[in-house]
Amino acid sequence: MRIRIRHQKGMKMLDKLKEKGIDELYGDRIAVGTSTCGVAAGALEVLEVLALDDTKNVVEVGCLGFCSAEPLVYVQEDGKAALVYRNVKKTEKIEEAEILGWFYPWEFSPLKLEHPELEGYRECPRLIEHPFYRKQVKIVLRNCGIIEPLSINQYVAMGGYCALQKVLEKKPEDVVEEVKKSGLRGRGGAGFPTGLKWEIARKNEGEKYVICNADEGDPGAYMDRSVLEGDPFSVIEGMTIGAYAIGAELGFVYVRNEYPLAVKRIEKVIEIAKKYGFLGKNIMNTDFSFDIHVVRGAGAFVCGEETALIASIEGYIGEPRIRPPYPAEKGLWGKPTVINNVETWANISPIILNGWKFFASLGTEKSKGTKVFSLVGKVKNSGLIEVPMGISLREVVEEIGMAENVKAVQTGGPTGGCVPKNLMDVAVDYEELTKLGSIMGSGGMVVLDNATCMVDVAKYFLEFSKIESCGKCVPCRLGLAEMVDIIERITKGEGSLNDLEELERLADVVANTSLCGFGKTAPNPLLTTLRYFKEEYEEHIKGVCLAGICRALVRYRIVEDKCTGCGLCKLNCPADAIEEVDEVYKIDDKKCIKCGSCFNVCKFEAVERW
Amino acid sequence: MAIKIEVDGKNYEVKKGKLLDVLIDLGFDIPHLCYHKAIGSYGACRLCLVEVKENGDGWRIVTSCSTDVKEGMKVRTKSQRIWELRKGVVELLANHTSSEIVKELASLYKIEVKGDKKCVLCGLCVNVCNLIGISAISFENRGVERRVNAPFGIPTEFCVGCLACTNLCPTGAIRFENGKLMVGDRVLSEHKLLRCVRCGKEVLTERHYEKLGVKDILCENCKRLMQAEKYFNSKQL
Ligand SMILES: Cc1cc2nc3c(=O)[nH]c(=O)nc-3n(C[C@H](O)[C@H](O)[C@H](O)COP(=O)(O)O)c2cc1C
Ligand code: SF4
Ligand code: SF4
Ligand code: SF4
Ligand code: SF4
Ligand code: FES
Ligand code: FES
Repeated sequence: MRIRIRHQKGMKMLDKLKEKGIDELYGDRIAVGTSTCGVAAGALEVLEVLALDDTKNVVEVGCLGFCSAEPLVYVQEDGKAALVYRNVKKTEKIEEAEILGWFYPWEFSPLKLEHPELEGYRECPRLIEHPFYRKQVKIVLRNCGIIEPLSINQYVAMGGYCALQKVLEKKPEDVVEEVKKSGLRGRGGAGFPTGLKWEIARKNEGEKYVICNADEGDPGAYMDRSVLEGDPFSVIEGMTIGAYAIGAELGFVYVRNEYPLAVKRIEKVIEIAKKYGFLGKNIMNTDFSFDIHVVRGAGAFVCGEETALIASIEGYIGEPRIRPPYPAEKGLWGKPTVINNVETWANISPIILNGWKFFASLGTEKSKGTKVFSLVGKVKNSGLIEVPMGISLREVVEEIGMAENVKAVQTGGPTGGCVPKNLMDVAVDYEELTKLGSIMGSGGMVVLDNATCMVDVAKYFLEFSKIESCGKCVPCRLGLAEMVDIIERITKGEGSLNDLEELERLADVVANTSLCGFGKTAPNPLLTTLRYFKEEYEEHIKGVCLAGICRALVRYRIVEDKCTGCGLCKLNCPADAIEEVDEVYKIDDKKCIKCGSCFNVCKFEAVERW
Repeated sequence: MAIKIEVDGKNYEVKKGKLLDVLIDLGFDIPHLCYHKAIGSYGACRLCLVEVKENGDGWRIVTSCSTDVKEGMKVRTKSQRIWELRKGVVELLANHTSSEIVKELASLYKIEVKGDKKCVLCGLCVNVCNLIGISAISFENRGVERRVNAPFGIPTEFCVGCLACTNLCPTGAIRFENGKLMVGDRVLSEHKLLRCVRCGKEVLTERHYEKLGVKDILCENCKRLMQAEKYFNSKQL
């Protein structure tokens, strides 16, 4: 493809949009985070109340990532920086809410941005010094929570579409080279070098496609959703650059149907980008044309696997296919196809704008840049974080999450592994996590505390995998089912030491013979818990669940000497298993369903678990 | 052009193609349930495992049905590791299914067959039907619930009754009985059978007859007899 450039006009337009965007971004505004996460915490009600005052400019933005502080509102007035309030209630005046800190709207972005000076606040802390934000480096999330997601002006003011413009003046192979040198690896799980993938597709002839994988199916992970909702332009700009680099004219965004807001936003920004000539025919007045369609995912976890996703777009059942050929050689409708994750695409324009060296300077030898994680579980600060690769798990969990009594961290989603506390100094890096038996995955991070039963954790994830296995290949379909049977037996105290060997053997067969990445990784939760917490399995075999989680193995009794006869336990027992006998209470083992309510409500520690 | 490969320590010159076909042609016994040359690789049974080594890389475990032979490729079909893994897969099949072919495989690995269902979900029936352009049957459900069925579980009129599926099925799970195409106790399609105009034997389904567009309905036997008659008649003239 030869590209003729008449960029003069394009540049003028960018300048115009930027000017408007700067006014919008740095003028007076009250911003409410109304991504799905914020909405779940009640942001829409807060928005409604704030919007009643029509003297104020109240806007909706994406999320700043701090889930446990939602609803999050910030106020930017009178030439001052943004002051952030946390956990805002609709019933209170905004000034009455707790202040989280203040920030400059440009300071999270790694890009050099034009902006007016705003005055900071001396009397309250800066957001970037808050433990939750201190160690974060935002590339992917640079605009999330800052811009109004559908505002092209604001996107451009934050450096948007400058990368595309720069790219259109370069040779496609130089763009591939830039991405290759940056060291960017796929953020969807497998960590394949993105530039290399592009190069393979570029070298293949004929019609080609690019796909954005937004099927995010990990329970509890919402990195991609947040980007699609909070900064959808960054994804389609990345795709447009990718299409130019490999020579594609058509792209697809495959989004889960469970993400209605993301679907809406991405559809809308495609429309807007077309209107402004950033998408469609003759993009930015060049010979390059590219269009994007949105496809809604069918909902199965395995549909996120690239060959299954391609099958699904083609109209077949979303089931994995044999690889090779890889999609970059033969993908959608047999044509070379580059399929990348949302987060991967969102990394592209900053790499182009700041150069590969900027990206490659972050991270470890083989894992460059940053990674977004959804930090959940037993942490004080939960939410979406973006940290440089190479940071230790301990820093993430204890400093950002401020977790206490940590027992292990489960990384990599439902098919990832559990890293025990004593190994938490491991660097967040594809290879290092793999060495410990876990994976980077797409960025789920669940913190488990001392009250957790690790056998129960393994059981939970194996059950998930058994249900989500597509069933196409023998080992994953039948092997996982057999593993679930065995682990269930163990959690009921009916297991034997032989069962542990059998589990390990099955895990080996499933991991090494399954067709797709799902079966290959599904045994990870089992294998890591067996490796690091074998004693817990042995205890269960002896009939003890020390954490008191496995119901078949725990019993409750009331210690007569401690019971004051208050009767709170009886009131809370759903099974009517507690009787008063001579002014103290007793549990009828036959009726008890082991819910633990009495144990939790008794103020005198009279209920014992044993 | 001949490609040089090494299998279990011996050198061979082979034609290009899928490794499984090549190995079978060379006389190696590689178990496989879901592959058929005419249909291509599907990758469901995971039995055709071998180890291969290319260039400077280490040994990798691959399914031979989905691997192209390449110049200089080294292959191990009988290593301890392959035996372990293949046995593991056979054992899973034997725990959950039972058919002649699974019994045969199980006896090779001295495994007891405990399953009851026949179908191993190899996909040959679904894939052949798709390949001939009819796509009358497909898989439904996920995981252990997966099974072959007609769409929505309602006997389908799209099936013409060509019986390509029953012919390819390695286990006999999909079968044609009394005008019905069945898997387990599920009826996938119902057919009216047409009789041979000469001997009256039921030979063809009505929909298949319409699709084929032949004139007379004849069974194989009568077809041959008529051919012979024609020949003799012409000789006598
Ligand atoms: C079971 C399974 C589920 C997957 N789900 C997703 C997903 O939800 N999103 C995603 O981007 N990649 C997912 N992947 C990874 C994709 O197969 C593929 O590697 C990825 O989309 C490539 O893009 P990347 O190189 O940018 O990571 C999944 C893989 C497997 C095996
Ligand atoms: S490994 Fe599991 S999910 Fe993947 S193809 Fe096999 S059965 Fe389906
Ligand atoms: S554990 Fe639950 S069911 Fe059992 S006695 Fe206590 S409250 Fe009742
Ligand atoms: S008999 Fe029916 S289901 Fe079987 S291959 Fe022929 S058309 Fe398809
Ligand atoms: S019915 Fe036969 S051919 Fe079809 S999937 Fe089952 S075993 Fe394979
Ligand atoms: S605050 Fe938006 S994802 Fe949690
Ligand atoms: S024959 Fe190769 S996987 Fe079935």
